[in-house]
Amino acid sequence: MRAVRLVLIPVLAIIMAVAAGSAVYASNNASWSVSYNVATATSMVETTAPFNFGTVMPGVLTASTPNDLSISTNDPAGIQITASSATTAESGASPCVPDASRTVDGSSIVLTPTPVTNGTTATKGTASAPGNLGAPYNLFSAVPTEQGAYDEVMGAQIVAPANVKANSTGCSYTLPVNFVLVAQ
Amino acid sequence: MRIATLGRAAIAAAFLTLLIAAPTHASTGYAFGVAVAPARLEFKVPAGVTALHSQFAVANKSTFAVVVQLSLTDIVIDKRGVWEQLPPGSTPYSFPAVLTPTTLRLQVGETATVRLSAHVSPRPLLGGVLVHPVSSMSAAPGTTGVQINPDILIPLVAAPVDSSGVVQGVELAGSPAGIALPMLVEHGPLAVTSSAQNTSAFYERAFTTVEYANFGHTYLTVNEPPVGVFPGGIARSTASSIVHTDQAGDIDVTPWFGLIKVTTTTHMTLLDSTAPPIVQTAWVLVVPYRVALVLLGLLVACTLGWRWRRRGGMRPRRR
Repeated sequence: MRAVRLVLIPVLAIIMAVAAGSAVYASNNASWSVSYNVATATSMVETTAPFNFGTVMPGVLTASTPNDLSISTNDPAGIQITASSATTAESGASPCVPDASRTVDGSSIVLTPTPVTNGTTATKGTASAPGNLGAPYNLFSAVPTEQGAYDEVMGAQIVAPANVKANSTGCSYTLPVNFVLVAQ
Repeated sequence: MRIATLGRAAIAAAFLTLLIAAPTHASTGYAFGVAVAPARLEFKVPAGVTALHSQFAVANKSTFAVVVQLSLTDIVIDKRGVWEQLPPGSTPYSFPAVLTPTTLRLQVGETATVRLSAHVSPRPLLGGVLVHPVSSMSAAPGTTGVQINPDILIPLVAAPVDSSGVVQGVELAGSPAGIALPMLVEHGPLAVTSSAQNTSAFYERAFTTVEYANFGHTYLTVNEPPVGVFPGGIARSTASSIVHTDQAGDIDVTPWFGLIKVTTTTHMTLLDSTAPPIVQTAWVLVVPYRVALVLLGLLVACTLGWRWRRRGGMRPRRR
């Protein structure tokens, strides 16, 4: 009987010590699980400072000016960018007195897109052939599926119609170019 | 009944991802644009649900404060794949939503939440929210300038579903419209354009997978991004045999010789529901025929030379 006690008591003491230690450890180490889901998100930012083409010659294509759109997305389905413009009358501050009959339209803007740059994954997309903005125009014939931050750099040129009216004193033509990003 | 498609945590997490990679131009320091999350809003509408509620976030990523205008728009995808915008109520599937607010004034880096609600009937709907940051800039007098507007369009799609989430009221369907691949090429890369026609009565997204196999062994599978297409329209997806690797850059995996079978499988989908797959197949023979012609010429020359030497070559003939 004494021998049993000699063995049993130390064993029970060890078991109780381990159990107590575990309880203390658990009380000092709370586990906390965090769960969340991430939505698809996109951004498009024009990073080329505002520019103008100066005085253009009717019917003559200007030199190409680079334009940079910085894009960021986590959507693996890719993005498309559609460019469009609209007929615009001349405008300006005093002494400009705008003449509503002096207009230019989107066909005078020519874009030359390129595959996207600075990305790290997936495809860069295929750029569409150069086109004017007389009608809405997709920059990519095959959309890029990059994820993360990357750039779309394109060339922009102006070819004013041969019969375009000269501006009134102090006025200018400012054409809106709408780049619309759509998640695919 | 109310459907909340995304929580604030999801939007915040998405913006965290985007803001880490905030694009600014190093040389000019100029940036003008916004970020949105989520990038698209899709709603499964079970029977009995008449109201949809959701929200999205807009962040100013410009280097200056901006005014952001939000407006609903109807969508038409033309034959060139261009998403054209129409005034709300222009189409029979117009998305009858209300946005609150419709104008935001955002400081640099500021984020705002926009609520969207709609009363819907059990029919498919398609529209969009145009997020338009406003800028004022005009060219110098006597010149021609360009005013860039970096807008983002958030597609809105809703369709009735049954209790298992399968789209109801629209029979999803498509038909093969051809596969463009040359029959003989000298070398890669192999570009293949697969076309499928939307034969349903509503907008669908075409997801295409392209498999390249050489003598029965599939050596490349490419998943193409989805192409949105309207009824009667044709979705075209172009795949290439060029593979992008992080270490070695772009690599063309086309074998130097082979009889390549290219199989394209297109799924026309709406929300998570899919029409039966459209499978199209084409064959292409990859032969470096110019090298082969040179080798053939050498072989013929050697054979003729050998036969000529066997017949005596340049030795004088015995009389």
